[in-house]
Amino acid sequence: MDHATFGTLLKLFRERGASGQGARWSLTQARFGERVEDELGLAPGTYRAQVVSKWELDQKIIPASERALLIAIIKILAEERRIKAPSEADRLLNAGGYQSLTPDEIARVFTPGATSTEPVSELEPAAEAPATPIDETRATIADVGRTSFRVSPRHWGGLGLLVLSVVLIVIGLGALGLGAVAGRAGLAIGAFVAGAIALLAAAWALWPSAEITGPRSTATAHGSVQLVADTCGDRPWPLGHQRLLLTAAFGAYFADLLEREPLYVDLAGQIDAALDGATTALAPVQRLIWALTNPRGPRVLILAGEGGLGKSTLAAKLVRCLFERNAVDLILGDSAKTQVVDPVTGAVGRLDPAFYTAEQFSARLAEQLGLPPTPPGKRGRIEQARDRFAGRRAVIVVDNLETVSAAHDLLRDLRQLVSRDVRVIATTRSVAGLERMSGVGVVHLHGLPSVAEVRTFIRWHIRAHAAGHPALARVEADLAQMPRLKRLLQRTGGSPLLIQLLISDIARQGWSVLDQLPTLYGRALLGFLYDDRWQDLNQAGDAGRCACRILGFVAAEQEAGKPVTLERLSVWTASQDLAEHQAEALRLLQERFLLMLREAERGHLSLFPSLAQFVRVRSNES
Amino acid sequence: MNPEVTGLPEVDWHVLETLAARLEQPGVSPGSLAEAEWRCLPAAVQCLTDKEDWPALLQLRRLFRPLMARDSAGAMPVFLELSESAAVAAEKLEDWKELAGILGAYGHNLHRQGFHARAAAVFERSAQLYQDLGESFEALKNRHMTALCYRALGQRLRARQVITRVLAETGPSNPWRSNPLQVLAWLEQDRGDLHSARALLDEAATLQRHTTGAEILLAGTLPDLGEVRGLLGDPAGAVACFRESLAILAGHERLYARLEARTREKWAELAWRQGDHAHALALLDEADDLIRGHGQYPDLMWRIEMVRGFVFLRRGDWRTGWHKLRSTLAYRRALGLSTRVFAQQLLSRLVRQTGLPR
Repeated sequence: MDHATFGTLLKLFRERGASGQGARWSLTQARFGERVEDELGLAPGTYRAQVVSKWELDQKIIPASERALLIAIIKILAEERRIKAPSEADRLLNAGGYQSLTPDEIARVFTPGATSTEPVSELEPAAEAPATPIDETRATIADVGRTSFRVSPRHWGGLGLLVLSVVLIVIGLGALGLGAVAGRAGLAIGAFVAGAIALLAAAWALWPSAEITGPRSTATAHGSVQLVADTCGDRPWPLGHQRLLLTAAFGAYFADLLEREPLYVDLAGQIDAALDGATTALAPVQRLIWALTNPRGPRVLILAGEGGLGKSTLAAKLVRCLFERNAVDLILGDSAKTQVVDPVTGAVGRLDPAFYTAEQFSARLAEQLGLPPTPPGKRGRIEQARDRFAGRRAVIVVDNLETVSAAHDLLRDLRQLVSRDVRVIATTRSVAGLERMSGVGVVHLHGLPSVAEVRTFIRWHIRAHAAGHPALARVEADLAQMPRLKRLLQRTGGSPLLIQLLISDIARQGWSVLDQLPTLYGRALLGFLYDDRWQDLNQAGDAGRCACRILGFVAAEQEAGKPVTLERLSVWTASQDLAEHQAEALRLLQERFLLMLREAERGHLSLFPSLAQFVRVRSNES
Repeated sequence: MNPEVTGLPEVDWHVLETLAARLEQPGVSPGSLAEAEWRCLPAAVQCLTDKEDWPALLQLRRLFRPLMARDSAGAMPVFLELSESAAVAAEKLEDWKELAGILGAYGHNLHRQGFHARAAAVFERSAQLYQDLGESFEALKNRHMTALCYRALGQRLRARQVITRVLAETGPSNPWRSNPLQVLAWLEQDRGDLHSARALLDEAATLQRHTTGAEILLAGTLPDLGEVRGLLGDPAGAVACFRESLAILAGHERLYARLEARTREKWAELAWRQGDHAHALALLDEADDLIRGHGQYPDLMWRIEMVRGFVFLRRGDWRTGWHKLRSTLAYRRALGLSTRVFAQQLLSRLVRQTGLPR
């Protein structure tokens, strides 16, 4: 799936290096705007550089109704040989949610000789990118950090200061050479001092600055270097014969994340990864992949953030990407438990917080590694595990590290296992003290930082969930309205989960729902939204009450680690005399974004962990 | 039943039967089910054992007998526990034939894991029970299995004595004869006579090819034949044997994961000898992952680690090689296998070029 926005692609196409005859080297925003004006016969100044800039930053959305403008943009890019095939034009249009080119439009835009069946490779994500050995990766990073020397105003000034400093020093020498006469001695000293100062200033002005070489580009921020395809980690990873091993370790929720269709949207600004500075040209997720595959990267990567920000989802994407890249061939780990299942009755019981210990984690790891039943002699489990890991490339995942008693002890044990080929990914809501541990890299997840990011995220959400909630499609037209998105951002703090819940409400009831929210934020708002839905469903007749019971069933099964399919659900509803309401109940749940449905045909159902917890409490109360 | 045990939940036989039926479906292997789907089984075993419901325990074991007979799930802790409980049940009910059958199957799983001493004792008891029941062929099969155990414990002479007696009691046209022939082939290989080993394995494979329903046995013989052919300088023939074995097993959806892992391990040895280290390591990784998922097979694991160790040593990665050989010895110690014997076998086999220790 291509997650680039219309603006991002427009900028990339416009700045793409031209090749072939008749192409121009640079197409500035100003020149591009002028070409659009000419094409449409508009007055000069209609599309200044600032307007083009806003298009490229997704701050100004071109309405779908302005088709002529869109076609003009495509035509100019084609004439400038920035777009070489209708497929590339469609990619740009589809990224903005616009309709692909019609045959007439293709005929109008692409003149004979300019059409190519092969899109230029540098803008195509490598769908089957070959695994990049670490050495090649390092070479790529080195290219980014390469210095260059261009003569800029600062450099001219530095040259001038250099000349001045030489002159002053010569004067000083001359004054000395004419004898130490009073006045001339002072002149000599003064000249030397001034010359020294000028020399220092010249040195500062002339010091080389690191710039990305190549064609003139303003894109020095992330996205200009592609380490892995943006789609890396998006492909579902069928667990197959590893399901027993992985569900025993991680439970149904994380295992389900590994198998489901892409959930994570790589949004700039949500990830704060203060890692090696050489990676600043990489997109955040790409930076994490670099960190996990580079020998100099942190051995332990901690993903930190409040609930609902996507830590586990990001961890799943990273794991899948590592497997796709053949960077690892073994996944182990555990989801630190807050509940325990009675093996006899199957009942799920709560554990005290921080019940889970480093010893339990080690035991789990030993089981997954197939270590000998009892450690022989005095050699510890860690030493045995290290011997087992030798020669393998593994990722150890620790989900919910905050629930581990003495997380420091666990990380200390894990650090004895890690190496350039064995890395740890941990998720946690709290990093207290962990970031000071050596070899540990901490990545903070924040809410979406800007309206542009929110818009991109909502668009993705609409595409991903409109099948189950058709009313979502109506929201897309409203995404051009900045004030509404600002209000949504302000009320949710950028939390993806809260945005998704509220967008589902907006699709049903309109934007006024934002004004009706109480003054709550974060977890309190999440609890309110769940509670509101629960009450709403209970008042929605038999289907609504059926929906609540379905939530209870799925939550219980999920907590017990059991996957729930539509077939299984049907058997259950039949046993509860609820079968006739099942279809309507599922529709109500999907409209309220309360139920995740994966694989529409067979249907795997799951709930967000926070919702499962809420439902369990409500079910116990009733 | 123990009248003092009250308040325990009843066993949900419908769920258990559904689980057993699901495991018989094409495309479903023990490892492909989520951990939670298995929970009904240990719950049932514990419940029936606490209740001392011996007939129900035997019924439960019969429900999963086909799965336990194949070599993927037999080492899963729940099935080992079920076997032990079912053996107690059969003894309590004085169902000696059932007990003999349970012990025989239990012995197979212990042997596959590498607990050869325990397995030998179990096989001996099973054989005696069958003998007392007048079922001489079943007794013979269990005595035959003791030969595998004694060989694995380094008691090669004793193993050869057992196999010689077994072959004497087995007619030349008996399709089952391929089993002791295979064991005798191993012993010949241990002695250094690869040509004799090959002849015996060829004979075993021929018998199995002409016997209906013996394809899994053939899939188990082919890796041994491939190993010997490789040692005799016929790598192409060796690879053909490995491929054929894997092709047979591919039709059984990981129900014979240990057997498949064993084939890959032997293929990896060939690749190592040929200097194709990357392929060797890939095969070993696959073998490792096959047997890690459910239950423990330390006996195969130490061989995988051993070959890994030699591959890394040959690549000049002495540190990793050392870690792997240390891991090898750790597994062997856990199985009660002698390090001294290992060293002797290693030296002997490397000198005679008859493969790696078994």
